[in-house]
Amino acid sequence: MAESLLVSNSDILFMILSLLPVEVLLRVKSVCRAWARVISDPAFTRAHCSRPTPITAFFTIRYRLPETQIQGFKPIQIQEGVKFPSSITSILSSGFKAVSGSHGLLCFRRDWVFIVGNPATSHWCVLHSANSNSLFMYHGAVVIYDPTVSIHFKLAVALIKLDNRDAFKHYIKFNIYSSETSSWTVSSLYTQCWNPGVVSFHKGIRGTDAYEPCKIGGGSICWFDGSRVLVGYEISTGTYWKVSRPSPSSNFRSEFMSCYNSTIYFGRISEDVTKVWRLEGKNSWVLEGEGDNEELRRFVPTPSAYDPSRGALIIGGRRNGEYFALNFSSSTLEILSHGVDHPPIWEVYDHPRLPHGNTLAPLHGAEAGMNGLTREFHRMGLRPLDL
Amino acid sequence: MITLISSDKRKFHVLEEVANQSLTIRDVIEDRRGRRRADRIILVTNINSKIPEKVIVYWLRHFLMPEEIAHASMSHKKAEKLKKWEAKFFDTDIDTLNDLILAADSLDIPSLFDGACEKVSDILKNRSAEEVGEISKIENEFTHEEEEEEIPSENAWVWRNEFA
Repeated sequence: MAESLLVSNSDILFMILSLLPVEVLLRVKSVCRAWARVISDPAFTRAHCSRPTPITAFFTIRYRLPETQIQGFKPIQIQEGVKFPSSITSILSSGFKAVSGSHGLLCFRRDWVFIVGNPATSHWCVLHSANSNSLFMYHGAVVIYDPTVSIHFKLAVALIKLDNRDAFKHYIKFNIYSSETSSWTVSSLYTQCWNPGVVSFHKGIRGTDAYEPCKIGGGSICWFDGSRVLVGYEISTGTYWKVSRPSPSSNFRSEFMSCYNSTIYFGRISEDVTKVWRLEGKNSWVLEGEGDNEELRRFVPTPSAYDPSRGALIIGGRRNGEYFALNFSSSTLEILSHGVDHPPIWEVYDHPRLPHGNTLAPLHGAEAGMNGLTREFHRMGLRPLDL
Repeated sequence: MITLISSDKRKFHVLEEVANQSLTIRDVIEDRRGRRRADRIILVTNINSKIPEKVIVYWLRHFLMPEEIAHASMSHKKAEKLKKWEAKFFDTDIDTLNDLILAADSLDIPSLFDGACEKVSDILKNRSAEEVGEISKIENEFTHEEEEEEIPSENAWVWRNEFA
């Protein structure tokens, strides 16, 4: 037989390798030089990143009922056979929380220290955000990044200040880091009012998980404001934009917003049908898909995220760690992960928060390997990373 | 009717409508339209007779179920059936797949190309680097020391079996 196609024809090799998941690519890099060359080529990385990545894990916030006390953050794997970089678990066990992610990048936070990196390729950078005004409190963080466009990223830290006179009014601003200029800028102020009839809130502040990265306007930060309107802050122009929910309805079992790889999805589970829309531009929701399954009516569904690669809505079940995928093309309900039964006296609830899939995404300003992180941990006086 | 001739001189007679699924053949037919019958013979020099057989089987199956239907309005049951058929069709050794990819590439049959590439990537997916090298007949030119270097410690997670 003639020389293997998988060496001689680089176009075909490129095509076949681009179909393989990240962990396989990192493994087969050692097959031969030709393969290593293709896999390390920036053009290949870009092509690989532009293919849809399935969600392989969720970072969940673990609550314990009835105290509703946060127990911690836990990654839950929802695809069998897909491995998980151990660096993630070591960072989480050092008191950092997973706060945001996009295209395989993850952002962890502990106080005003942020770690942004790609755990799959182990490239990390550490950022310190200064809070100059102590009246503002931390309210969320978002990493804005699209490897198909640029290797630069932005980190936006949302800060909130309550109004002394009006309990329903508060102010939001963002500290924004750009890896392109290696500097921080501050956004203008956004005044927001809670509609007490619509949103229940705890001590005036909603959970710190409400902000999502969005590709619109070359990079925006999105969240639902007090009156259930989606607000976006476009970083490049420094302007705020708003869009209402798609076809408002009062007859539904649950509604949710999810974000995966900088695309905002809005979903609604009604008695008869489940629909998901995608935000395309500042004012248009496009129906991404719809489906229905009898099984869904048997439990209280907790929609977690829409996965464009699977063409399915990922739904959390009643039990801890139980996940289903409602496939929109076939209306079938597939079990992704079996839950764990708990003793009846107390219950743990995992609130799915951050969908994650491994990618080869490169990022500017990051250092390869764990040495940089280890150094930084030493400087901060933290316990060394357990690797 | 069109005649394809493989590298080992075997002849294959195919309906024009069927062979049209190859964009290369379609262009050749378009170019030679209205000419003598002899011009309806197309030499497929870079592939042996085993491959045109397979390609024609693939064409016939897809001819009965055009691409547009396959994606938009096909019923779930029919789509499942086609999927099963394709799985069986591509369930072959890596040499045949290589030849199919080469044929699909030169004859420009996108769905066959994608299908065969996907199958090769599936074969590679659950194997170690050594096994991959073996089945794709690639000689590892890395020396032992280089190999050690090639695997940076931060990527060690992909070699482990457990879910950390």
